[in-house]
Amino acid sequence: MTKQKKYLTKKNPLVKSKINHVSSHLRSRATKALACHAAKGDFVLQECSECQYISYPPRDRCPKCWGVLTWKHQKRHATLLAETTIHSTTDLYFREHVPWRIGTILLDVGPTAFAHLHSNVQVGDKLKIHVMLDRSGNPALFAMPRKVTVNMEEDYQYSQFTASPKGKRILISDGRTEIGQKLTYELIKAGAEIVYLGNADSNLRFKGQDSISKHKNVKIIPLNLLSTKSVKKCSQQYGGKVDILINTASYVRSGSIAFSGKITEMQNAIDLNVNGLTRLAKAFCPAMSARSGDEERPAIAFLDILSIFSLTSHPDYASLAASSAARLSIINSLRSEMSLSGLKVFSTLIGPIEDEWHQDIPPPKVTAEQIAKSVITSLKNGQELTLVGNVAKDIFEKWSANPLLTMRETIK
Amino acid sequence: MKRYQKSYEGVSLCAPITIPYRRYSPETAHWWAGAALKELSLQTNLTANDIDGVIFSSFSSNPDTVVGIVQHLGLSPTWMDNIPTGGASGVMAIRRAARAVQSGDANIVVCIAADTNHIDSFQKTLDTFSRFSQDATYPYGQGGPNATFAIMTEYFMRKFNLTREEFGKIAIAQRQNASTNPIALMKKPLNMNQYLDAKPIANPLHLFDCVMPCAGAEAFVVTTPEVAEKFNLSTVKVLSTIERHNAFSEDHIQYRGGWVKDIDDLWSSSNYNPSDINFAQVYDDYPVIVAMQLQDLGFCENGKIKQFINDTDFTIMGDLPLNTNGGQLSAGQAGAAGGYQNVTEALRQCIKQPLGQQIPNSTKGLISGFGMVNYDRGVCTGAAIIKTDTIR
Repeated sequence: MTKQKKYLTKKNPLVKSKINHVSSHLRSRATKALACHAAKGDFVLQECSECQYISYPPRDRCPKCWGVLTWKHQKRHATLLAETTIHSTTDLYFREHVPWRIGTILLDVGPTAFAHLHSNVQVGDKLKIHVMLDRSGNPALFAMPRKVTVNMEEDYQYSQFTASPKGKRILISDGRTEIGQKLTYELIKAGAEIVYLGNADSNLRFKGQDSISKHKNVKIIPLNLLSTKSVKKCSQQYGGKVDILINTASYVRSGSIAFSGKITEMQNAIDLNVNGLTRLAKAFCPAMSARSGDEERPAIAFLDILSIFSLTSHPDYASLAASSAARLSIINSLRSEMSLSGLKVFSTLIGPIEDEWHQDIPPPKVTAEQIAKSVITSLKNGQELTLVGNVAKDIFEKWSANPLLTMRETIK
Repeated sequence: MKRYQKSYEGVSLCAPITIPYRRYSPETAHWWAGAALKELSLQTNLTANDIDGVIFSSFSSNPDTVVGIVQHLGLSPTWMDNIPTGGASGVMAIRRAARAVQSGDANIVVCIAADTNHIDSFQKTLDTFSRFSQDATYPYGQGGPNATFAIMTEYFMRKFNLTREEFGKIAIAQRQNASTNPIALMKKPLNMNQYLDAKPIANPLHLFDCVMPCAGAEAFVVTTPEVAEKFNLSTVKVLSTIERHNAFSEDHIQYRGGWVKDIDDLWSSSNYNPSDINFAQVYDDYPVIVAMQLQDLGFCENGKIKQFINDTDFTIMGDLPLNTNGGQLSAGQAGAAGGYQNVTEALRQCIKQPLGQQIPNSTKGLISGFGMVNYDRGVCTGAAIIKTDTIR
């Protein structure tokens, strides 16, 4: 059983926070490609398309026959051959985290590799290997015990690669929606200390308000993403105590470009989906990244839930698709910016939701509950990119294979 | 296919130069290389006009390689080479320079290794050391090769049943040898308790298992016996050499090096056995590498390294004087010069001009190099057997 972490309730304001170092950023292009798979939680290694030799570390040509290499899903099984505990290092990030255990693993599919070690694994043990994203957003192998054990994800080293909500203070930008509320309940179930739930208009009651406002771990707070002033005010009050920020806000209206849509709907979509996200990031990320190296209560993640049509456009939901595309771009820029501070940036790409705004779209659709559960999983696993629902998975798969064709397929 | 190595007839190694190391230096690698040339000219009367071959090794001369150094220091050689292989570069320099001299491509080859050590240069060297390190070593918190060698040491200890005491014996013997070398950076006597109780670095490595990075330069000359006579230089002959890169890539963790592949060639070409050798200067960034070399080079039966270490006295007056200048573990590791100090010290013992104490009988020596932990293991290995020729 993994030793559980103790959570403090109050931080001494006189103690200087630890500076947020991140591990080294230098990586080859091949290793950056590994990061794209790691972001989805996939375990891949390079395999030669000619002789099928599997190699590691990432290369540009096969070391056996000089053939071309492709990333392929591989079995995660490995054995721990040798280990060390680092007590002294020149690396500024790891200096804050020593003693730190690493070891040499032998993957069942062939190669050996250095990997970070879970505290429950010993030399000779059978392992399950994950490619995780480290605090610089780069891929690293992590060796977990093959057998699942109690509180396994609370391992100190593993927790440096994840954003588990347990014991965390979480802000949800829009609590008026079913997604915001379902997510709140799931986060509390996962051990969140408190959920600050944004409410854009205190004068208008919303569905579910009575029961959620009575919950002892929930605090409904004024937050209107359409108002820079409101977002700023909220960040002044809560920026210093938010560990995870989740943007659930979304403006969805059906409508095409030329015929059925209105310019005001496009403006509204852009103002909430694009500017709202930007206001949120601008107001909260500086304060959060300043605390990302904090020993006791680090700020760890920013998560955005957005439409899968960000990848492809959608003729009947043109304003949603256009604003989501911008939203995805903003998240990518933010991720790069935050990789210098160690704040993890997550995106949850969702298909059409089962709600009043997606009535024109036939099933399959995703429920608020599905989305909420996926968000928890992605935080717990440190998985930057999550796809929720069959539509999102289908579009992503097609888009990964051929983006232009996938965009054309949305044309009737 | 068996290779038949041509002899090194007509090749003389001479003029070992060591510029005293410093822990940190504000100077550049170019400055240190210049210091080595200056000292060489003072000791040998060689001038820039005499030098027609140059080999250069450095980690800190960036962006310059040998060509930058040649122009910087006003040389005009007919032949030059850059050998960027750290701990293996000295042995490789001997091999390349010897063949250049034999073929007549160059007549007087000066081999120089120079590295500075600024306050931040260790980190800079690490950052740009190799692509595999960037991708698959440094992200694991290693901040240098310590953790890689820790894993190798842990594995080697289990495989060959060694304890920390055996490695301690090597470190302590080298420290004792260093005590006679006035320019060794670490001369304070070391005992077993101090070795065992030292600050942990990465299990099982502790402080005295690790070299101290520093600034320094080493140089030597490879030429013909005729030129050596003309300049009145004592000479050393090359009997045989080997070199091997990326051997045993199938081993999951390194416990042997490329020497194993070519060891029979090394001894048979030299017409000697390990027991004939008077002293050994082997690469010693960590004691485990010393143990690995002694075993791989045939000083003991494979698998018997524990007993060999326990039975052998490695001090200058001992059975097998080892790293008689203190090695890098006690004299300091001046970057690529760490891969030349084994050569210069071996030459000095052969021509009876040691920095420290002279080995009583020192005509036949072994030099071994090990370099470039590009990822999880040392990639480059090499060795040479040398013999005193003429002492002037």
